[in-house]
Amino acid sequence: MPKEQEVKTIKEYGRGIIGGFLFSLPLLYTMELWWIGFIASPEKLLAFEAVTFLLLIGYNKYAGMREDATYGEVVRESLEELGLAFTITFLFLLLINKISFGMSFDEIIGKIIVESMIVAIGISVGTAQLGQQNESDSGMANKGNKNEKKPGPAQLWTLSLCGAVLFSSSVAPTEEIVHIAMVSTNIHLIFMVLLSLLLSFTILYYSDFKNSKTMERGIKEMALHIMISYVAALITSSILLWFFGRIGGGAGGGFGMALAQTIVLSIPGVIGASAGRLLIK
Amino acid sequence: MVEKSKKYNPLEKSTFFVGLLILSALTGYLVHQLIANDKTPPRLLVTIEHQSSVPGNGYKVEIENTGDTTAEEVQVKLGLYQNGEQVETATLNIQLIPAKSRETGWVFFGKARVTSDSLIVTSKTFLEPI
Repeated sequence: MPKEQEVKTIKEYGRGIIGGFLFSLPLLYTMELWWIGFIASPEKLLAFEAVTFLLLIGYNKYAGMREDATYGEVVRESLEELGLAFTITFLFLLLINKISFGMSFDEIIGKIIVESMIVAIGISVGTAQLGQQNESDSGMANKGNKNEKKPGPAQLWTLSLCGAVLFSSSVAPTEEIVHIAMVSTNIHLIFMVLLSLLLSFTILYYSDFKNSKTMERGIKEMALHIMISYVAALITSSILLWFFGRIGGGAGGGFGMALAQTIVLSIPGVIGASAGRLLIK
Repeated sequence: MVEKSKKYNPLEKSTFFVGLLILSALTGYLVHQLIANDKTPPRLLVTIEHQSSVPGNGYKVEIENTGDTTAEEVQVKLGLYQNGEQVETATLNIQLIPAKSRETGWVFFGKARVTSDSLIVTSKTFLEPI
Protein backbone atom coordinates (compact mmCIF):
# COMPACT_ATOMS: atom_id res chain seq x y z
CA MET A 1 0.00 0.00 0.00
CA PRO A 2 1.43 3.39 -0.93
CA LYS A 3 2.66 5.59 1.90
CA GLU A 4 1.34 9.08 2.61
CA GLN A 5 4.18 10.73 0.68
CA GLU A 6 3.58 8.59 -2.40
CA VAL A 7 -0.17 9.33 -2.31
CA LYS A 8 0.65 13.02 -2.16
CA THR A 9 3.01 12.67 -5.12
CA ILE A 10 0.37 10.79 -7.13
CA LYS A 11 -2.10 13.63 -6.43
CA GLU A 12 0.49 16.20 -7.54
CA TYR A 13 1.15 14.25 -10.71
CA GLY A 14 -2.60 14.08 -11.34
CA ARG A 15 -2.78 17.86 -10.98
CA GLY A 16 0.19 18.28 -13.26
CA ILE A 17 -1.29 16.00 -15.92
CA ILE A 18 -4.59 17.90 -15.83
CA GLY A 19 -2.61 21.17 -16.18
CA GLY A 20 -0.69 19.67 -19.08
CA PHE A 21 -3.93 18.74 -20.84
CA LEU A 22 -5.54 22.07 -19.98
CA PHE A 23 -2.86 24.00 -21.83
CA SER A 24 -1.83 21.56 -24.51
CA LEU A 25 -4.87 19.53 -25.51
CA PRO A 26 -5.58 21.82 -28.52
CA LEU A 27 -2.02 21.14 -29.64
CA LEU A 28 -2.37 17.39 -29.26
CA TYR A 29 -5.37 17.61 -31.60
CA THR A 30 -3.67 19.86 -34.18
CA MET A 31 -2.44 18.12 -37.32
CA GLU A 32 0.14 20.81 -38.15
CA LEU A 33 1.84 19.86 -34.90
CA TRP A 34 1.94 16.16 -35.83
CA TRP A 35 3.40 17.10 -39.20
CA ILE A 36 6.07 19.36 -37.77
CA GLY A 37 7.22 16.37 -35.73
CA PHE A 38 8.52 14.63 -38.83
CA ILE A 39 9.27 17.69 -40.95
CA ALA A 40 11.42 19.63 -38.46
CA SER A 41 15.19 19.26 -38.75
CA PRO A 42 17.23 17.84 -35.82
CA GLU A 43 18.64 21.30 -35.05
CA LYS A 44 15.14 22.75 -34.75
CA LEU A 45 14.03 19.90 -32.47
CA LEU A 46 17.16 20.33 -30.35
CA ALA A 47 16.61 24.09 -30.10
CA PHE A 48 12.96 23.54 -29.13
CA GLU A 49 14.02 21.03 -26.46
CA ALA A 50 16.67 23.41 -25.07
CA VAL A 51 14.39 26.48 -25.02
CA THR A 52 11.60 24.53 -23.31
CA PHE A 53 13.95 23.13 -20.69
CA LEU A 54 15.27 26.63 -19.93
CA LEU A 55 11.71 27.96 -19.65
CA LEU A 56 10.80 25.10 -17.31
CA ILE A 57 13.80 25.84 -15.11
CA GLY A 58 12.94 29.56 -15.16
CA TYR A 59 9.30 28.94 -14.31
CA ASN A 60 10.14 26.52 -11.49
CA LYS A 61 12.74 28.92 -10.11
CA TYR A 62 10.55 32.01 -10.10
CA ALA A 63 7.02 30.72 -9.64
CA GLY A 64 6.86 26.97 -9.30
CA MET A 65 8.89 26.27 -6.18
CA ARG A 66 9.62 27.74 -2.79
CA GLU A 67 12.01 30.71 -2.83
CA ASP A 68 14.91 28.91 -1.12
CA ALA A 69 14.90 25.99 -3.58
CA THR A 70 18.39 25.28 -4.90
CA TYR A 71 19.16 25.10 -8.63
CA GLY A 72 19.73 21.36 -8.20
CA GLU A 73 16.18 20.96 -6.89
CA VAL A 74 14.81 23.16 -9.67
CA VAL A 75 16.56 21.08 -12.36
CA ARG A 76 15.34 17.90 -10.68
CA GLU A 77 11.72 19.11 -10.65
CA SER A 78 12.01 20.16 -14.29
CA LEU A 79 13.27 16.72 -15.28
CA GLU A 80 10.47 15.11 -13.29
CA GLU A 81 7.96 17.21 -15.25
CA LEU A 82 9.64 16.29 -18.52
CA GLY A 83 9.45 12.60 -17.59
CA LEU A 84 5.72 12.95 -16.97
CA ALA A 85 5.28 14.97 -20.18
CA PHE A 86 7.05 12.39 -22.36
CA THR A 87 5.02 9.57 -20.86
CA ILE A 88 1.58 11.16 -21.16
CA THR A 89 2.29 12.56 -24.64
CA PHE A 90 3.37 9.13 -25.86
CA LEU A 91 0.30 7.44 -24.36
CA PHE A 92 -2.10 10.11 -25.63
CA LEU A 93 -0.73 10.06 -29.19
CA LEU A 94 -0.95 6.28 -29.09
CA LEU A 95 -4.55 6.55 -27.92
CA ILE A 96 -5.58 8.85 -30.77
CA ASN A 97 -3.61 6.68 -33.22
CA LYS A 98 -1.21 9.42 -34.21
CA ILE A 99 1.74 7.25 -33.41
CA SER A 100 1.95 3.54 -34.01
CA PHE A 101 4.73 0.99 -33.94
CA GLY A 102 4.54 0.70 -37.73
CA MET A 103 5.85 4.26 -38.08
CA SER A 104 9.48 5.16 -38.51
CA PHE A 105 11.46 5.89 -35.34
CA ASP A 106 12.12 9.48 -36.51
CA GLU A 107 8.41 10.17 -36.92
CA ILE A 108 7.54 8.86 -33.46
CA ILE A 109 10.41 10.74 -31.81
CA GLY A 110 9.63 13.99 -33.63
CA LYS A 111 5.95 13.94 -32.70
CA ILE A 112 6.70 13.18 -29.05
CA ILE A 113 9.31 15.96 -28.78
CA VAL A 114 7.12 18.63 -30.36
CA GLU A 115 4.01 17.82 -28.33
CA SER A 116 5.63 16.97 -25.00
CA MET A 117 7.50 20.25 -24.67
CA ILE A 118 4.30 22.30 -24.38
CA VAL A 119 2.73 19.56 -22.22
CA ALA A 120 5.73 19.89 -19.85
CA ILE A 121 5.16 23.63 -19.36
CA GLY A 122 1.45 22.90 -18.81
CA ILE A 123 2.35 20.27 -16.20
CA SER A 124 4.60 22.72 -14.40
CA VAL A 125 1.96 25.45 -14.35
CA GLY A 126 -0.82 22.99 -13.50
CA THR A 127 1.06 21.54 -10.54
CA ALA A 128 1.76 25.03 -9.26
CA GLN A 129 -1.61 26.63 -9.83
CA LEU A 130 -4.26 23.93 -9.53
CA GLY A 131 -3.41 22.80 -5.99
CA GLN A 132 -5.17 23.82 -2.83
CA GLN A 133 -3.83 26.82 -0.96
CA ASN A 134 -2.96 24.83 2.19
CA GLU A 135 -0.77 22.36 0.32
CA SER A 136 2.45 21.94 2.28
CA ASP A 137 5.82 22.49 0.67
CA SER A 138 7.42 19.34 -0.61
CA GLY A 139 8.54 18.31 -4.07
CA MET A 140 6.27 19.40 -6.85
CA ALA A 141 3.84 20.52 -4.17
CA ASN A 142 6.21 23.34 -3.34
CA LYS A 143 4.51 25.20 -6.06
CA GLY A 144 1.88 27.83 -5.83
CA ASN A 145 3.97 30.05 -3.63
CA LYS A 146 2.02 33.26 -3.82
CA ASN A 147 4.44 35.84 -2.53
CA GLU A 148 3.42 39.45 -2.72
CA LYS A 149 6.93 40.73 -3.38
CA LYS A 150 7.61 42.97 -6.32
CA PRO A 151 8.84 40.75 -9.16
CA GLY A 152 12.37 41.26 -10.48
CA PRO A 153 13.21 41.64 -14.20
CA ALA A 154 14.38 38.01 -14.60
CA GLN A 155 11.12 36.78 -13.05
CA LEU A 156 9.05 39.10 -15.26
CA TRP A 157 10.83 37.96 -18.43
CA THR A 158 10.58 34.28 -17.53
CA LEU A 159 6.88 34.37 -16.65
CA SER A 160 6.07 36.54 -19.68
CA LEU A 161 7.86 34.13 -22.01
CA CYS A 162 6.13 31.10 -20.42
CA GLY A 163 2.72 32.80 -20.65
CA ALA A 164 3.32 33.80 -24.27
CA VAL A 165 4.40 30.26 -25.22
CA LEU A 166 1.35 28.69 -23.56
CA PHE A 167 -1.11 31.05 -25.25
CA SER A 168 0.37 31.44 -28.72
CA SER A 169 1.67 27.92 -29.39
CA SER A 170 -1.81 26.61 -30.17
CA VAL A 171 -2.29 29.06 -33.07
CA ALA A 172 1.32 29.46 -34.24
CA PRO A 173 1.40 26.35 -36.51
CA THR A 174 -1.90 27.11 -38.24
CA GLU A 175 -2.22 28.41 -41.82
CA GLU A 176 -4.49 31.17 -40.58
CA ILE A 177 -1.55 33.22 -39.26
CA VAL A 178 0.03 33.25 -42.73
CA HIS A 179 -3.33 34.07 -44.30
CA ILE A 180 -4.04 37.00 -41.96
CA ALA A 181 -0.48 38.30 -42.47
CA MET A 182 -0.91 38.13 -46.25
CA VAL A 183 -4.15 40.12 -46.31
CA SER A 184 -3.05 42.70 -43.71
CA THR A 185 -2.00 46.13 -44.91
CA ASN A 186 0.47 48.30 -42.98
CA ILE A 187 -2.45 50.13 -41.37
CA HIS A 188 -3.86 46.82 -40.10
CA LEU A 189 -0.46 45.89 -38.69
CA ILE A 190 -0.03 49.25 -36.92
CA PHE A 191 -3.45 48.85 -35.32
CA MET A 192 -2.55 45.29 -34.29
CA VAL A 193 0.55 46.62 -32.50
CA LEU A 194 -1.54 49.32 -30.79
CA LEU A 195 -4.18 46.75 -29.80
CA SER A 196 -1.49 44.49 -28.33
CA LEU A 197 -0.10 47.35 -26.22
CA LEU A 198 -3.60 48.37 -25.12
CA LEU A 199 -4.44 44.79 -24.13
CA SER A 200 -1.25 44.58 -22.10
CA PHE A 201 -2.00 47.90 -20.35
CA THR A 202 -5.59 46.83 -19.59
CA ILE A 203 -4.48 43.51 -18.15
CA LEU A 204 -1.50 44.73 -16.15
CA TYR A 205 -2.76 48.10 -14.92
CA TYR A 206 -6.37 48.87 -15.60
CA SER A 207 -8.70 45.94 -14.91
CA ASP A 208 -7.50 44.96 -11.42
CA PHE A 209 -6.43 41.56 -12.67
CA LYS A 210 -5.49 38.86 -10.15
CA ASN A 211 -1.90 39.38 -8.89
CA SER A 212 -1.54 42.75 -10.64
CA LYS A 213 -1.70 44.70 -7.36
CA THR A 214 1.96 44.03 -6.58
CA MET A 215 2.96 46.40 -9.35
CA GLU A 216 3.38 50.13 -8.93
CA ARG A 217 1.59 52.50 -11.22
CA GLY A 218 4.39 54.94 -12.13
CA ILE A 219 4.66 55.75 -15.82
CA LYS A 220 8.21 54.41 -16.00
CA GLU A 221 7.39 51.05 -14.48
CA MET A 222 4.15 50.79 -16.42
CA ALA A 223 6.01 51.36 -19.70
CA LEU A 224 8.69 48.87 -18.70
CA HIS A 225 6.19 46.11 -17.82
CA ILE A 226 4.13 46.63 -20.95
CA MET A 227 7.26 46.59 -23.09
CA ILE A 228 8.52 43.40 -21.40
CA SER A 229 5.19 41.72 -22.17
CA TYR A 230 5.13 42.90 -25.76
CA VAL A 231 8.78 42.13 -26.50
CA ALA A 232 8.35 38.67 -24.88
CA ALA A 233 5.34 38.12 -27.16
CA LEU A 234 7.35 39.22 -30.23
CA ILE A 235 10.32 37.00 -29.31
CA THR A 236 8.08 34.00 -28.62
CA SER A 237 6.12 34.55 -31.84
CA SER A 238 9.22 34.76 -34.01
CA ILE A 239 10.79 31.67 -32.40
CA LEU A 240 7.56 29.65 -32.80
CA LEU A 241 7.11 30.82 -36.41
CA TRP A 242 10.70 29.86 -37.19
CA PHE A 243 10.20 26.48 -35.56
CA PHE A 244 7.03 25.83 -37.55
CA GLY A 245 8.81 26.76 -40.79
CA ARG A 246 6.81 29.92 -41.37
CA ILE A 247 9.73 32.35 -41.31
CA GLY A 248 13.44 32.09 -42.10
CA GLY A 249 15.25 29.23 -43.84
CA GLY A 250 13.73 29.85 -47.27
CA ALA A 251 10.13 30.07 -46.02
CA GLY A 252 9.53 32.89 -48.52
CA GLY A 253 7.87 36.26 -48.25
CA GLY A 254 10.97 38.08 -47.04
CA PHE A 255 11.30 40.30 -44.02
CA GLY A 256 7.94 42.04 -44.56
CA MET A 257 5.98 38.80 -44.41
CA ALA A 258 7.99 37.55 -41.41
CA LEU A 259 7.29 40.78 -39.53
CA ALA A 260 3.59 40.72 -40.44
CA GLN A 261 3.21 37.14 -39.17
CA THR A 262 5.08 38.00 -35.97
CA ILE A 263 2.78 40.97 -35.32
CA VAL A 264 -0.32 38.86 -36.02
CA LEU A 265 0.81 36.09 -33.66
CA SER A 266 1.84 38.60 -31.01
CA ILE A 267 -1.80 39.40 -30.21
CA PRO A 268 -2.44 36.04 -28.48
CA GLY A 269 1.19 36.18 -27.37
CA VAL A 270 0.79 39.45 -25.51
CA ILE A 271 -2.37 38.20 -23.78
CA GLY A 272 -0.33 35.22 -22.59
CA ALA A 273 2.63 37.37 -21.63
CA SER A 274 0.42 39.76 -19.61
CA ALA A 275 -2.64 37.86 -18.31
CA GLY A 276 -0.93 34.48 -18.47
CA ARG A 277 2.02 35.89 -16.55
CA LEU A 278 -0.27 37.08 -13.76
CA LEU A 279 -2.27 33.85 -13.66
CA ILE A 280 0.63 31.41 -13.67
CA LYS A 281 2.63 33.43 -11.10
CA MET B 1 20.70 28.30 9.92
CA VAL B 2 19.42 24.82 9.35
CA GLU B 3 19.52 23.79 5.72
CA LYS B 4 16.38 22.02 4.62
CA SER B 5 17.13 19.34 2.06
CA LYS B 6 14.24 17.62 0.38
CA LYS B 7 13.79 13.85 0.60
CA TYR B 8 12.45 12.25 -2.58
CA ASN B 9 10.19 9.22 -2.46
CA PRO B 10 10.66 6.27 -4.89
CA LEU B 11 7.92 7.52 -7.23
CA GLU B 12 9.56 10.95 -7.57
CA LYS B 13 12.95 9.32 -8.02
CA SER B 14 11.74 7.02 -10.79
CA THR B 15 9.91 9.85 -12.61
CA PHE B 16 13.08 11.95 -12.39
CA PHE B 17 15.21 9.13 -13.84
CA VAL B 18 12.67 8.47 -16.60
CA GLY B 19 12.79 12.18 -17.52
CA LEU B 20 16.59 12.27 -17.39
CA LEU B 21 16.92 9.06 -19.40
CA ILE B 22 14.47 10.06 -22.15
CA LEU B 23 15.83 13.61 -22.40
CA SER B 24 19.43 12.35 -22.64
CA ALA B 25 18.49 9.68 -25.18
CA LEU B 26 16.53 12.11 -27.36
CA THR B 27 19.25 14.76 -27.18
CA GLY B 28 21.91 12.17 -28.01
CA TYR B 29 19.88 10.88 -30.95
CA LEU B 30 19.26 14.39 -32.33
CA VAL B 31 22.92 15.40 -31.91
CA HIS B 32 23.96 12.20 -33.71
CA GLN B 33 21.58 13.00 -36.57
CA LEU B 34 22.89 16.56 -36.71
CA ILE B 35 26.52 15.42 -36.89
CA ALA B 36 25.89 12.56 -39.31
CA ASN B 37 23.92 14.87 -41.65
CA ASP B 38 23.54 12.09 -44.23
CA LYS B 39 19.84 12.37 -44.90
CA THR B 40 18.82 11.33 -48.37
CA PRO B 41 16.00 13.20 -50.16
CA PRO B 42 12.55 11.59 -50.42
CA ARG B 43 12.53 8.48 -52.63
CA LEU B 44 9.09 7.24 -53.58
CA LEU B 45 8.45 3.63 -54.38
CA VAL B 46 5.03 2.92 -55.90
CA THR B 47 3.51 -0.55 -55.75
CA ILE B 48 0.31 -1.28 -57.66
CA GLU B 49 -1.92 -4.28 -57.12
CA HIS B 50 -5.16 -5.07 -58.95
CA GLN B 51 -8.02 -5.81 -56.57
CA SER B 52 -10.24 -8.51 -57.96
CA SER B 53 -12.18 -8.75 -54.69
CA VAL B 54 -13.81 -5.33 -55.21
CA PRO B 55 -16.29 -4.48 -57.97
CA GLY B 56 -15.00 -2.43 -60.94
CA ASN B 57 -11.51 -2.00 -62.27
CA GLY B 58 -9.82 -1.10 -58.99
CA TYR B 59 -6.18 -0.94 -57.97
CA LYS B 60 -4.55 -0.61 -54.57
CA VAL B 61 -1.62 1.82 -54.78
CA GLU B 62 1.01 1.85 -52.06
CA ILE B 63 3.52 4.69 -52.00
CA GLU B 64 6.51 4.16 -49.77
CA ASN B 65 9.02 6.88 -48.96
CA THR B 66 12.31 5.02 -48.59
CA GLY B 67 14.33 8.26 -48.27
CA ASP B 68 15.29 9.98 -45.03
CA THR B 69 13.24 13.14 -45.63
CA THR B 70 9.51 13.80 -45.66
CA ALA B 71 7.87 14.26 -49.07
CA GLU B 72 5.27 17.02 -49.19
CA GLU B 73 2.39 17.51 -51.64
CA VAL B 74 3.01 14.20 -53.34
CA GLN B 75 1.30 13.70 -56.67
CA VAL B 76 1.39 10.34 -58.43
CA LYS B 77 -0.07 10.18 -61.95
CA LEU B 78 -1.13 6.80 -63.29
CA GLY B 79 -1.99 5.84 -66.83
CA LEU B 80 -4.12 2.82 -67.74
CA TYR B 81 -2.93 1.17 -70.97
CA GLN B 82 -5.04 -1.28 -72.94
CA ASN B 83 -3.64 -2.86 -76.10
CA GLY B 84 -0.67 -0.49 -75.97
CA GLU B 85 -2.76 2.69 -75.82
CA GLN B 86 -3.38 4.97 -72.86
CA VAL B 87 -7.12 4.91 -72.32
CA GLU B 88 -7.50 6.56 -68.91
CA THR B 89 -5.48 8.46 -66.33
CA ALA B 90 -5.77 8.96 -62.59
CA THR B 91 -3.95 11.16 -60.06
CA LEU B 92 -3.33 10.48 -56.40
CA ASN B 93 -2.62 13.51 -54.19
CA ILE B 94 -1.14 12.94 -50.75
CA GLN B 95 -0.26 15.84 -48.47
CA LEU B 96 2.70 14.30 -46.66
CA ILE B 97 4.60 11.03 -46.63
CA PRO B 98 7.08 10.93 -43.74
CA ALA B 99 10.46 9.27 -44.19
CA LYS B 100 10.41 5.45 -43.99
CA SER B 101 6.65 5.24 -44.08
CA ARG B 102 3.94 4.41 -46.57
CA GLU B 103 0.51 5.58 -47.60
CA THR B 104 -2.11 3.52 -49.34
CA GLY B 105 -4.57 4.80 -51.94
CA TRP B 106 -7.17 3.29 -54.24
CA VAL B 107 -7.78 4.00 -57.92
CA PHE B 108 -10.86 2.95 -59.85
CA PHE B 109 -11.12 3.25 -63.61
CA GLY B 110 -14.29 3.50 -65.66
CA LYS B 111 -12.98 1.17 -68.37
CA ALA B 112 -13.66 -2.52 -67.77
CA ARG B 113 -10.62 -4.65 -67.11
CA VAL B 114 -9.13 -6.54 -70.03
CA THR B 115 -6.32 -9.07 -69.95
CA SER B 116 -3.85 -6.70 -71.61
CA ASP B 117 -4.34 -4.01 -68.91
CA SER B 118 -1.23 -2.37 -67.61
CA LEU B 119 -1.09 0.47 -65.15
CA ILE B 120 1.95 2.72 -65.47
CA VAL B 121 3.19 5.44 -63.15
CA THR B 122 3.58 8.34 -65.57
CA SER B 123 4.97 10.87 -63.09
CA LYS B 124 5.76 11.37 -59.41
CA THR B 125 6.12 14.87 -58.03
CA PHE B 126 6.70 16.14 -54.49
CA LEU B 127 8.12 19.02 -52.53
CA GLU B 128 10.88 18.80 -49.97
CA PRO B 129 9.72 20.63 -46.84
CA ILE B 130 11.71 23.68 -45.75
